[in-house]
Amino acid sequence: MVRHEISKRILLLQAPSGFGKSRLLRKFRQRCPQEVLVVRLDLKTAKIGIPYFFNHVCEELGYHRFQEFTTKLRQMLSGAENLPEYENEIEWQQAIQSALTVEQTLRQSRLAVLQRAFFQDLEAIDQTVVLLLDTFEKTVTELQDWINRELLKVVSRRLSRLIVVIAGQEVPDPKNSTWDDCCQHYCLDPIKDEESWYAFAREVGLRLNRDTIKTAILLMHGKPLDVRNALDLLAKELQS
Amino acid sequence: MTNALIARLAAAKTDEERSWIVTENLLNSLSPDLASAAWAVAIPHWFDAEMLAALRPELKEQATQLYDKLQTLSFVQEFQERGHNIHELTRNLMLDYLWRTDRKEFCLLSQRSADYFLSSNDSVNQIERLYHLVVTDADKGVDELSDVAQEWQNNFRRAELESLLDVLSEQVTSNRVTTPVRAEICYWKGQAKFRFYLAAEALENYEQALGLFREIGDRLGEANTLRAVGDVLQFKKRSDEALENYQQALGLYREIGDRLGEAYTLKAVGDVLQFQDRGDEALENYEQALGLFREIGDRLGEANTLQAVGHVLQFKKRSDQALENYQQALGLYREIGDRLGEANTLRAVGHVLQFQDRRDQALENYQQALGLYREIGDRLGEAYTLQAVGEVLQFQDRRDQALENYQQALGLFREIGSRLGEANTLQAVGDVLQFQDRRDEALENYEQALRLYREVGARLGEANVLQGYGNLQEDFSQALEYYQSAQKLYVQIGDKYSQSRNLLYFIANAQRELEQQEEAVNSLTHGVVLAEEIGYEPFREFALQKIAEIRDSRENRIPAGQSILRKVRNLIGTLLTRGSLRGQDLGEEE
Repeated sequence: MVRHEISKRILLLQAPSGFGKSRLLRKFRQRCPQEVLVVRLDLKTAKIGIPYFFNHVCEELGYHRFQEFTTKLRQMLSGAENLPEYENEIEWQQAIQSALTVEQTLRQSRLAVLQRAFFQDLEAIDQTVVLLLDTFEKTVTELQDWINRELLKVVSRRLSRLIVVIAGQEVPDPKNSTWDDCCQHYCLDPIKDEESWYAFAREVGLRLNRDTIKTAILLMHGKPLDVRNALDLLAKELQS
Repeated sequence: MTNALIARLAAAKTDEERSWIVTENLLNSLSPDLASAAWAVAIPHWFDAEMLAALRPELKEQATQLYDKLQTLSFVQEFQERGHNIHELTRNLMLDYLWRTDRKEFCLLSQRSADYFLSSNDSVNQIERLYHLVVTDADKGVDELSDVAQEWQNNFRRAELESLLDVLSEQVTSNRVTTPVRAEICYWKGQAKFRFYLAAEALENYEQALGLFREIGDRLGEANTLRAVGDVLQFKKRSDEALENYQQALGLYREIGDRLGEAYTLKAVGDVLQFQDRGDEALENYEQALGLFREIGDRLGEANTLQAVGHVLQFKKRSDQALENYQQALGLYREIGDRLGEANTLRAVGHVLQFQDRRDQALENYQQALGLYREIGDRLGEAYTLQAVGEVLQFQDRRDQALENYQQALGLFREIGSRLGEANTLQAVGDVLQFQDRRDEALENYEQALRLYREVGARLGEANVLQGYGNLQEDFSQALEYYQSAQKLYVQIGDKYSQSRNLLYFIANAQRELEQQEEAVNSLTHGVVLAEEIGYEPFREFALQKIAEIRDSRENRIPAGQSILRKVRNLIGTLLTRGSLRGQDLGEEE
């Protein structure tokens, strides 16, 4: 996907809690080539919704890349003249929040303008950008809807250098969406393969033999967090 | 793995049981200080060394080292920008266990968490504080929740309110809160759902809240919830049921002497009555609400009610009085610095002045409103006002300027994604082009408008375009077909004003041109009946005059098909059509 060898640009990873989705996202980040710009956002931290999303992405990629967005924002808050200057990310976030913390009709109208500018700026970045969005089910409805209806639509239609990976116990539903032809949806299963767990145990420094690992997998039904905890416990018991 | 442990795991019946056996053993394998730290940091949703020190003051000196050690545990993960957290699955198991086996310790740690998060006014910390406070101090928790939720609701901080309620629901699901807390949470969940127009879910939450408030005898909570239920029912156009709920709420507010609650409910009752076309009763309720708002000194409530009174009076064609009310509302909005209220009222004043044929003054008001909408960045308000300016200019025969305004409005509607606004403007553009004899361009605009109306299911708009098509036909039998298709839609919608207008100005005229005099008289007569039903005198007068003309012409044949007369007729009819559309625009805005 990152090498643009396949046409899909949206990856959905769905699984119950404790199946290793967050860890997988961290691995993705580590494995991305250096020239790729990666933004990771754990959506459970986005308590204020869309303003947090805009600010986080702009901050991670650098506000200097978002000229259109910042101009529209400043105009919105001050009229066309005497545009305010914002010194740091906190001030930017406050500015975005302030522009969008208004009556519903006005908010929709402003959001339409800001998102258009935001996507325009993203489109102008001449590098591949990967957005890794975690805990989708834990964020507010408005941001979920916006990702579903606006972000993914624009990724599938226009933003050919943007790749979006979304992980969660729930993820956007590709059925009846406008972007399903651009999306790959995986549901993660328990991991029951002994070799994989054996390799993992060695990687994290747990000295356990294959039989012990097999027992843990069987007892914990291959559920990643449970197996991991069991392996830790076993290693401690063996040490003592 | 020891045999005993394996036996326990093998005997466990559920995944949850197995997970807890492993977690418990892991926690038991930790040093006493590390275990104590792990239990403490399971209480908040995230932690760092500073928070650990606040939760376990006795371990303050070692907090940094313990924080480092906690990070090495398999069930601890990074929490973006704020430190770390115990994995959700493990944390839930630990909290359930602690709540069951040592509630005192649970409450002590929760109280320390609530105190820790008090130090910051940041909404994220406020949410976390309330999450702990509702468990440790229910009364204080309800008070603070109510204040914070109301403040966020008033200031359009919907995402934060939803985040707060989601987090608090965790405590409800785990049965760690009292009935008053549950009632308050259900009430605010209803409010949050309704903000997203999720009426069914809102009602479900309100029903739960109502039951709980009644269970504990909280009449204020009950009154607020009944009013909220009324709001949802009115939104669902179940206005009689809405009124019932408002009446019950009113009774309770009066019993407990809550005048602000009473004022808001009276205003809401007025809105329903106005919706039911019971203007006089609506005005009575607004008057009572106004009195109370003035007594209490709630100027925003007063301004909003004055504006509502203005709308009723204008609807009743008492436009001078409507203007007086709008002017008072304007003054108040300016006093309290509510620029959106000011802009909306200026636009409403513009509509009244346009109705009174004081077009230059209407334009002045629209220009002021435009300035304000631009200042606050309300593009939708700007688009509607540009459209209204276009209508005035069209009336003044300044058609090129009208087109310019419509084009600007069109750009804004498209930018915002308001398809109904776009369709209405395309139709208005089509009307202007029709008058300029630019038939093909007019048709093009009508076609685009028709497609959009059908997409959004706006049958009134669709009918008006069909009528516009009719006006463009050279052949009267084709024109009549279009008018009759439009008529079917007007009947389906139940729009008597448009039915009457279509019969009087378009259908009857086409029939006359086609020498179908009897049919024309029937159409005019039907139009009169409808005009009388809605009490609209100008249509009645027009129809009676036309019937008289037909009778005269039978005796004294007048040549039909004069193009100038036809244009004049179309102009009047089309402008009346635009007037009826404005209601539809406002509907979308509100």
